Amino acid sequence: MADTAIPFDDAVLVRQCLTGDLTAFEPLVVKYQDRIYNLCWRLCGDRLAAEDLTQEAFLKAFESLGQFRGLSGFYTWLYRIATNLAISYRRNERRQINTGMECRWEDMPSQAARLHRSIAGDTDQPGEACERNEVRHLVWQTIQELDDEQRAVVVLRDMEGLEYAEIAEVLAVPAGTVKSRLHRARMTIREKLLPVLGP
Amino acid sequence: MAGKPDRTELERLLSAYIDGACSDAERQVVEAALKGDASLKALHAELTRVVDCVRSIGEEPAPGHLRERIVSQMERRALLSDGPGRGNGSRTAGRLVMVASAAVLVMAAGVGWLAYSIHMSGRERAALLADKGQGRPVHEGLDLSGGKTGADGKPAGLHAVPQQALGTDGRAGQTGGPERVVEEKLAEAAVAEEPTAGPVATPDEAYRQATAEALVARQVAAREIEAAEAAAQRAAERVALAEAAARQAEAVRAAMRSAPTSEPVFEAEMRMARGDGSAAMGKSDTSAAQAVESGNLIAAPAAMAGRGGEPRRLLHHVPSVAMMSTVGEGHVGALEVRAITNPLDRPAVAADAQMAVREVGGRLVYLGFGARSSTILAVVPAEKRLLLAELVTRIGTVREVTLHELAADTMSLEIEAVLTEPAVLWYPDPWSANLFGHGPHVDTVGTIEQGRDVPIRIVIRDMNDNSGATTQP
Repeated sequence: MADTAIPFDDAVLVRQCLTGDLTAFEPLVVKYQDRIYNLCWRLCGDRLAAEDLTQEAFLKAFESLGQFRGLSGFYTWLYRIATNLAISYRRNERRQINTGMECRWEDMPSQAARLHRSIAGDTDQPGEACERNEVRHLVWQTIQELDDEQRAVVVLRDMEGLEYAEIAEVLAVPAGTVKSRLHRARMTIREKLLPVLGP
Repeated sequence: MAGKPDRTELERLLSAYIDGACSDAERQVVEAALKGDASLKALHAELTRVVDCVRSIGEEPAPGHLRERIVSQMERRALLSDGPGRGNGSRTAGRLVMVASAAVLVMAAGVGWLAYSIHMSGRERAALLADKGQGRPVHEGLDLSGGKTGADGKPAGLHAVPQQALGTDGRAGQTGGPERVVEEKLAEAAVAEEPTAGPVATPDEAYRQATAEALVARQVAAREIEAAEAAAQRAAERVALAEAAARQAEAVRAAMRSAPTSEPVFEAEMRMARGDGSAAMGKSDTSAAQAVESGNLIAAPAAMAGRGGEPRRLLHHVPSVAMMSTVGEGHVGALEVRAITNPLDRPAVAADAQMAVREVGGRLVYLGFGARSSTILAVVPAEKRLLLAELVTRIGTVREVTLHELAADTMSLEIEAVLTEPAVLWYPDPWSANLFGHGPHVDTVGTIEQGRDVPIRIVIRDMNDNSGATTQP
């Protein structure tokens, strides 16, 4: 991911932006675009929408930078914007969710790339890889079927790796609520996955 | 932990325990419970597997064009506003209007005050002078409309105005008209008479004071107007620049949007021979507007000139619309797609592509050859799973492509191509081989020297024939 390659301090870049140096925002885009894109994709379940949401999240952050107090990390603030946008999108659009297996043409290059990576891994037998993909598909589908609140905590915790306190900040809920939602979400996923979980 | 938690609470703690987010007390409770409760232990194992499964869903990088999209939008919005964190651009204009309005109000107040002071003091002074029998009323000596003076040429009796109120040249402002006449009269009076000092303000002193204050106020107003006008001028220049940039951007977008009807920008002709003997012809309706919306055309103009995978992306875009809308499962035939493209003179997308469509073993298989896209594509939708295989990634520039008739029961495709530059590199692609289960392989045959016209014939034989393909340079 690009975030390890960019040694700039977020706070410094934000300050530069606020003094009128617009170029300082671009490193922030480069640094966080992958994470925000993946976050949006996982929350909304649609790659094309995730692109739009990622763009909107960055633009919204750019325009609202003056309101960023620096009390939390820039990325936490950005996550919050992106999460709210993705949840709003999901609630408002009520689109048919592309679950990734019946993918569209636009998804094919990335799917092909994943397949390429998967096949290129010489330790995998094709059968095992296929089975693992089935499980992942089922997990993905189950996550997409969760309600917005549960999906958000699962994505933020298990896929994005945020701490409970950070999730609480992003979702603006108490940490106890995060714990409860996360447990309920995992129990729901477990129920769906029981046939394939194995020993 | 206060007291022993019930089963529900224990289960809830399991998730936090797995995440290492329990307090020490909670952790001890959970660990003790896990030792003595087999079902809880099983649940713990299952939840751990759930977490592992969720975490196993990988991530992928954001699309390559996304950063450019975001940055260009950001720059556009910044251009139309004051910069980051300052909302939209209308605030700038709003502030300027407020400044200008304030300046106008100050000026109007100043002029009004001046006129009122002159009028009122003139009446008082006329009365005073009449009492003393020293001459005509003052207002007769002040021709506010033409700058004429009284019969003696001097406004006798007018007292001095402090010099500092008039500026270094003795003038109060830059404007002409009645105010200027007033200034001249006052300046003359200042030269003719010295002000008389006294502990109590006489009507004359009050008159002089008011007049001086009015002039100062007018000077202040004039300076503010000048500053506001300069600011407005600068703002107008910025707005003009922004509008020019917006017009330019809109012109490009409009040209691309309107191109499908007025000028071919992204057009594709299709010919498809179906397995049942029928034929279909048509044009792709992949419009430039769609391309604009999808970002494919405008996202990376530099890349369109032939860098990286962008030309392939463009090529995908044309047949994807054609194929997906016109070819159904079970059809066997050939699809020829000829893209006639000229979006903003980008040569890389002036591509020919020929596609073969076959049903093999219950699967619908497309094989395509993009003349200038430098790509052979194989698209295999099987059980609704669309997989894309790129068999050859670099073949140089192809001048001519011929797609031969397909054999009835084998998956074979012959392509004749004339390569003009710069080199041809074929390499075996185990990924593609794995994808198809067996071949087709395109073996490495080395490179062809740059600049030579070398006809080559690629034969991709039966996909179930693992002997692979032959390539004959």
